[in-house]
Amino acid sequence: MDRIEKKILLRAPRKRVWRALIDSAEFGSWFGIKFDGPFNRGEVVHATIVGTAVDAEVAKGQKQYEGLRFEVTIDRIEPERVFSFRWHPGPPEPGADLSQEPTTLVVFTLEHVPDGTMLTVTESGFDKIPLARRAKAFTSNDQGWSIVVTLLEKHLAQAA
Amino acid sequence: VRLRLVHRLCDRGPASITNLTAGSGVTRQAITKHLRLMENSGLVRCARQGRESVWYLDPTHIEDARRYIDIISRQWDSALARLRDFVER
Repeated sequence: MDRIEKKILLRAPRKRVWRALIDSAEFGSWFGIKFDGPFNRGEVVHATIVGTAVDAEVAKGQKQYEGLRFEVTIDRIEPERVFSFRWHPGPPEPGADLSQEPTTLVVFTLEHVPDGTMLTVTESGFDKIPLARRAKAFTSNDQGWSIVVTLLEKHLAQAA
Repeated sequence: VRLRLVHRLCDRGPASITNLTAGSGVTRQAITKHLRLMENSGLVRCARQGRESVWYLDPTHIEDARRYIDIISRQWDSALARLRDFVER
């Protein structure tokens, strides 16, 4: 499985949804990150995890990643239609050099519907993400996982 | 010690305490203690085989580690629900 696709009906005008995506401060506020600057096509924006302002429960879960930095490379900006960027999926890992690792492509597509805006999100390119990196998504769950991850890494190293 | 035990069980399959203790440089009691701890966290399991207990890795956790996409998928569900609250309020 290489991609994730999500569709959600938002009862808000397309203009409003577009702003929540393209304004880096607004995007950050619902997503739980703080961007260092605006989104510009083809440019890299640095981001820091701060915890979402929208949901206290989620913010609590994000707490363990607070302060971690990562970067996003803006891909397409087609006003009120398409916004896309590339990033490294999963929780950021302090001190890890991801510059040589493959990224996934996240695409937001907006569509006007009678009730509001139909938003489609796809994230693709998971096939290229190394298994060891994928396993890292589990390290936060509990201490047991760190053992499993090490184990997997060893396995993968042997398989390579 | 625990990590070594996991690697060992992973590389050579199920093993008895005697096997796991041999050449480990750690006492049988210590090995047993670590195995029990790992059993509590669901990482390993123990089965009786004749007079001996045989320890093996519980595959369910390792299987879970492959469900990476599910996790990311759930994170998107949660992120999009937040976006909805944000634009609809």
